[in-house]
Amino acid sequence: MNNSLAVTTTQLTKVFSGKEIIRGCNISVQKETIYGFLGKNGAGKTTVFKLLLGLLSPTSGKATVLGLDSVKDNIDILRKTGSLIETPIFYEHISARENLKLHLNYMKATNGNIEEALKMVGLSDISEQPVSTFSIGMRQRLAIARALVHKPELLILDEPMNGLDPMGIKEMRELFSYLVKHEKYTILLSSHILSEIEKISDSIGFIVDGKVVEEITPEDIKIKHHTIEDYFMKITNGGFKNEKTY
Amino acid sequence: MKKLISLELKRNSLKPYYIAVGIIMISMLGFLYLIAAMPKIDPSEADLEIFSSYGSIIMINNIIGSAIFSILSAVMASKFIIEEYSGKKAILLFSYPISRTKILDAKILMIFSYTVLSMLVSGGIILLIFFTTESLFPLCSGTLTFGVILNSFISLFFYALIAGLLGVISLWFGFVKKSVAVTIVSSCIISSIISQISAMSLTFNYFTIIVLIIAFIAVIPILGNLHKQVKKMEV
Repeated sequence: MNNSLAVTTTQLTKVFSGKEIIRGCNISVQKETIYGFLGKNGAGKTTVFKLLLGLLSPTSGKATVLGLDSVKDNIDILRKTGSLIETPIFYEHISARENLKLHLNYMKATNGNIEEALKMVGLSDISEQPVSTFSIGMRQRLAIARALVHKPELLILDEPMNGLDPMGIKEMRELFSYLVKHEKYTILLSSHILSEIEKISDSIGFIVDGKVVEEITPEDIKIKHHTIEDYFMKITNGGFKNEKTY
Repeated sequence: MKKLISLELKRNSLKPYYIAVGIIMISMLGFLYLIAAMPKIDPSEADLEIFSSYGSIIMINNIIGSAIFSILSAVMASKFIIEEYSGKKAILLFSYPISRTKILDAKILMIFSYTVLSMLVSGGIILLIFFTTESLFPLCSGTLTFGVILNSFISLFFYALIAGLLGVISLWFGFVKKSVAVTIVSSCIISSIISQISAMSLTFNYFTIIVLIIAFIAVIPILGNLHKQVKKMEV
């Protein structure tokens, strides 16, 4: 494996009930970059993330994360990775700080910094409140803090901007850029917000019906396809915008 | 394992279960006095003769206690295991860099230990109170000897272990279906059957040990199968 790659998948395939949800998917994520994963609802973004984290086993193909096999070395991958998959789940009756403390214990992390993580996501002031009192946006911020509190090498974030207000989205965008530039993180994230992915990502993978059809830099999209929206519509709808029926 | 159990205790409050054990203890104490007093309430009823010996009434109390605590164990298993392994909570659980089977074992051990210890402590307190009042103002017509007291505590110990093991068996039914309802209903059915079998012999003898051994043997393949299921789980 190329040492400059944090994540690679080779012909990764996942079949559920006889149906191929992920079809020979190949992705390459460079270390210390932000990789944006774009696709329609149900295209298979979350499934690929789950396959990388060992939450699902591939039907065929291979995924390598930080040089480790996603199936055989799953525990080691989890130790070096921070993740946010689907709606974040917390221990509701305890505070944000206690949630992070528990997480560090489970991650067996000795170098974690709870104060720093809370400050990074802007939750320092309310860290003593039980999570049950948190809004959707605050929960999302806490989920991001939890993903990075143990100082992993790789962040896998499924729709991290969900539920955040415009200010929150901007703050998280700046945080992710900071983590990559100054803390040597690699970030693999998915989003529905095309403009956000375009602004934040060093490279973008487009997934259509379980297959990554192209990996491209935002600069190349501008040169070759004018706007990311036009390009996204072209590859996901075969070049046609959804026809209006009203 | 010790660390994992302490983490389980940090994130799950046991307070409702302490309250439950307190309520069970008070109810069981009342029940014990009731069955001890039954022959006196209606001396003409010959069938109540069974309640005139300490061995019988303590055995009935322990069998019913075992059934109640095995259901309590199933309720705990529903909360700490079934709910956590079904739905989205499992994603968080499987994201920790810890062997899936170790986490499951820690949860099972915690519930088993809590069931056995809480039955021993509450049952022990009940027996102490009962034997103290019986030595002063006896309700039961039987003779209270050191042997009777010792047998009662040994029987309590065995039935506490049976309660813990039955809880694990009903957990298995619930885990296969990932259903809280199946866990609790199977626990009620299993504890009723075991109570009926145990009640066939109302004096402490080898019969209790046979029930305990059967429950223990049943739990071994169940643990193996639970490990297999949790390793294969996809979330």
